[in-house]
Amino acid sequence: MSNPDNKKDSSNLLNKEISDREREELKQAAEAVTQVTDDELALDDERRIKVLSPSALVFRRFIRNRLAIVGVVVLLFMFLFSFLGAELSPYGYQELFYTTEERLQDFGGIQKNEDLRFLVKENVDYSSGARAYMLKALGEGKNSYKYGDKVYDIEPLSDRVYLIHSASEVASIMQLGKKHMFVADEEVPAELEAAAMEAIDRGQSEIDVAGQIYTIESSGREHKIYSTLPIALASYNVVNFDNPESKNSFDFQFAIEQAVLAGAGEYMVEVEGKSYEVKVDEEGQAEIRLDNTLYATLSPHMVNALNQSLHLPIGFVAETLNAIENKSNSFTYTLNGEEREFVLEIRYERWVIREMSSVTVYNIRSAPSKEHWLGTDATGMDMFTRLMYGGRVSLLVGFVVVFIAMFIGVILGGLAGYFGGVVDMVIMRLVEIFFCIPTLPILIILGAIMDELKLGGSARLIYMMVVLGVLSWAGIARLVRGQILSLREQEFMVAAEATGLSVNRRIYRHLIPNVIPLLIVTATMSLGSTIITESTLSFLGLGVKYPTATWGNIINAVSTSYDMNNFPWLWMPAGFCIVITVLAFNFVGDGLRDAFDPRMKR
Amino acid sequence: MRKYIVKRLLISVFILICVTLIIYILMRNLPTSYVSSIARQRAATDKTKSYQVWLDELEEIYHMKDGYIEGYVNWAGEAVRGNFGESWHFKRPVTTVFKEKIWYSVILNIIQFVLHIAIAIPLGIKAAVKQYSRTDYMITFLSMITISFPTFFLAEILKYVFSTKLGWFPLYGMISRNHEFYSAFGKTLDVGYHYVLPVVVLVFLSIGGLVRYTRTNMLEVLSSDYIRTARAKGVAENKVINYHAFRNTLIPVVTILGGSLPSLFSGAMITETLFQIEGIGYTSYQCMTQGDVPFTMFYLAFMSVLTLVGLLIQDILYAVVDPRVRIS
Repeated sequence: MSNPDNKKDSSNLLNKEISDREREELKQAAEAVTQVTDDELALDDERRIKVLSPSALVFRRFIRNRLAIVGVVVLLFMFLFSFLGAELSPYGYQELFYTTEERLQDFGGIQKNEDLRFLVKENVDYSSGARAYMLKALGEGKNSYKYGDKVYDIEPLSDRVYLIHSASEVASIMQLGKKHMFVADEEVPAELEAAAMEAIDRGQSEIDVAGQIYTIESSGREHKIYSTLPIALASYNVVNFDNPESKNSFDFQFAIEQAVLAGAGEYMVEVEGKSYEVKVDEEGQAEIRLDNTLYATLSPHMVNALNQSLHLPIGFVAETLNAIENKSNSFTYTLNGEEREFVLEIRYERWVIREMSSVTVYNIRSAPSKEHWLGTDATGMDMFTRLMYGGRVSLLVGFVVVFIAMFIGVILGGLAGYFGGVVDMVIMRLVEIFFCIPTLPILIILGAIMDELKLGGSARLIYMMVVLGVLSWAGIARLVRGQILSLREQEFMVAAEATGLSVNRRIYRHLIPNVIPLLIVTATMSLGSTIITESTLSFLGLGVKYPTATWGNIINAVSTSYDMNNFPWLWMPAGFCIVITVLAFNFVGDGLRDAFDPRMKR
Repeated sequence: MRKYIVKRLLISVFILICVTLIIYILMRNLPTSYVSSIARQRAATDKTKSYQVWLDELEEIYHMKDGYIEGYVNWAGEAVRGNFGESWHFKRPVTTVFKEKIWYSVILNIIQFVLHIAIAIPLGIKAAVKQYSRTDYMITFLSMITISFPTFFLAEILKYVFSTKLGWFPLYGMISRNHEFYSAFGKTLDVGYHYVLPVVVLVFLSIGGLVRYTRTNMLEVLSSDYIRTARAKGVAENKVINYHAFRNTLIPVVTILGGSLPSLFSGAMITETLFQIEGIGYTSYQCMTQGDVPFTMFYLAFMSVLTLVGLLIQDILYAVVDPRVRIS
């Protein structure tokens, strides 16, 4: 209950205390005032006026100029941005950034096989010479040829598959009238003789005895009986196994080829005690299954991956062929447990399998993002960071050049103005000469020469600053001379001379301080124009070179109109940095001029 | 007056001699590797002259065998007669190339000159008359902006906005594809159409300085005693501004403008290059970057003459217009 009351009481007390104190202070102040008035100040007493030093006056006038304050703030920001920001930036100005990009890449190829492939029976010798002769015979349209002491028969199973038989003489028959003599070179079935005679009578050249085919070659009365054995298979078809360990064999492929030859349909084929399920399609491709799993395919096509170590499972081949057959140009397949999409393309009459895959590339010309506030440039460097470092160089060039120009200009202008006469005459002619030397052309030639001499980045920078400085002192010298000439004639200088001040004192205490305001204004203004000159040179590619960043060469890096039009973030920020900085220098310079010389303000 | 002009003329000739001497010496001192590699490139692209022929030619034009002064005198003697040698880039006499290209620049600059006067002087006077008003701040601010733009950046922005995005003006070049099929009037219009953006760039960049100059001078005039007198005797404000103040403001402005007349011939190097206007600026830029020594020499000498003539006109005009200068 009592708490709130207490509080009220205490706060009342506090208020009272405060107001008492205030009253007392007021009283004291009033007393102080009456004391002063008691002294009876004269009207022109200095104490009546709040005296400000000239520089304080200038300062007050300056801060009243809103544009000038904006300029100062912008300049402060630019300096922080360039010198501090560059330190704080997590990136380096020459740091390259990478990104992954989805890109169609060649995965493998598929091609109709154009080479005959030979499959030789086990333990049979069918040399490469024999193979070459076979191809030759095939080209000449013969169906039997001789190689070495052996005769081979070519039996075309289709226009893509050939069976090669090796023939060896097993027996001969001599006909002598109605009798004949049968001579067997080796063991032959007993029925052969009778069957052969019968065939000779009928004019047959092939007989089948106990599952073995014999050919009879007759010359007059002599008949030779050859036994022919299929020893090899020459086929344009390719067998791809699901398991890379599986080995092709003559018997296996022969069996499959036969199934294929039988036309589209499903067959059961038995080879070496295993029964395979063969599914043949219209194109003459076969899918071979063992125990209901895909075992191999036979097709006129060869499929392989670019990556040699990658084995393409049969399903992939089948899927590819399927896609080609369906005239679809893409298909999906689960390879090594992940579903991947493949694209088919015809290139130089062969099918190329391509796949979207991610590639690491330079992150070039990327749009502004969270990582790169102003995107990246054409080589993959962070634009924002480069702007900061570029600002360093641009501002540095500005200051150094203006310093050099000021240094020469003030000394020569001061000499000319103070001494006059011959000195003035000589220096002014020099000023006019330098005034007439065309700066930009000279700098462009200098740039071209430095290109030719392949000068490095910092050397170029130094040369450029010196030349710019040396070529731009003339205006300042003229200004200083004019100022000193007019100051020299003023009463205070006459007074200084009359009081017998030394020359040094007259120059340094009385003349120079009066020139300084003008110098500050001129320097500020020429900082802006120097930055423009530097950036123009860099833009033309004749100033500071890539990869050193300056605001000018950041824009120069985007020299093609394609880049200009499509990637405005590559050049606009640097350009606006230049404009804003120069504008700020001009605002400050203008504000300073007004502050130093209030005459212009009515 | 005549004495003054003669004196100025003599000084100008002296300065011209000094400047061309400096340029001549600079040229003579080009790094040998630079000159020889340029000559080698030339010899490689143009089989009609060998490497040595190029170098000999250069030596002949610039009298390299003589001493500096003697060589300079010989070169200057030829140059005064209009013999600047043959341009390496164009393979024709320098002066022929110059005569061919100069008019494109002059036309461009005259348009710019007229427009920038027509825009800047009224603006400057308006700003001065209404000092510290919103108009004044706006005009001052805008003129500050125009002097803060680098030429190339403004040109690129205009190209980006008006050529690429809006498609109103051609990106660069001087004539369109069908130029040959147009009538004479159509041809002029076509070139004029291509000149729009370059002129805008040049005018935009040049009005700032003139506005500020006009404003400053007008302010000075407006604060002078005779204006106060005019107002005091009851002259209408309109008349004070347009009659008394304006005329007096024109004195320095006309002087400055007169001084810039020769620069009509100097070409606008950056603008012409960026818009590929085949004027003297673009031509000399090409020559300079490709190491065409004879043309570059000519251009440098030409530029110094222009600057000198400009200064001379300015000084003489100043003396003519303002009797006070004449007396002192």
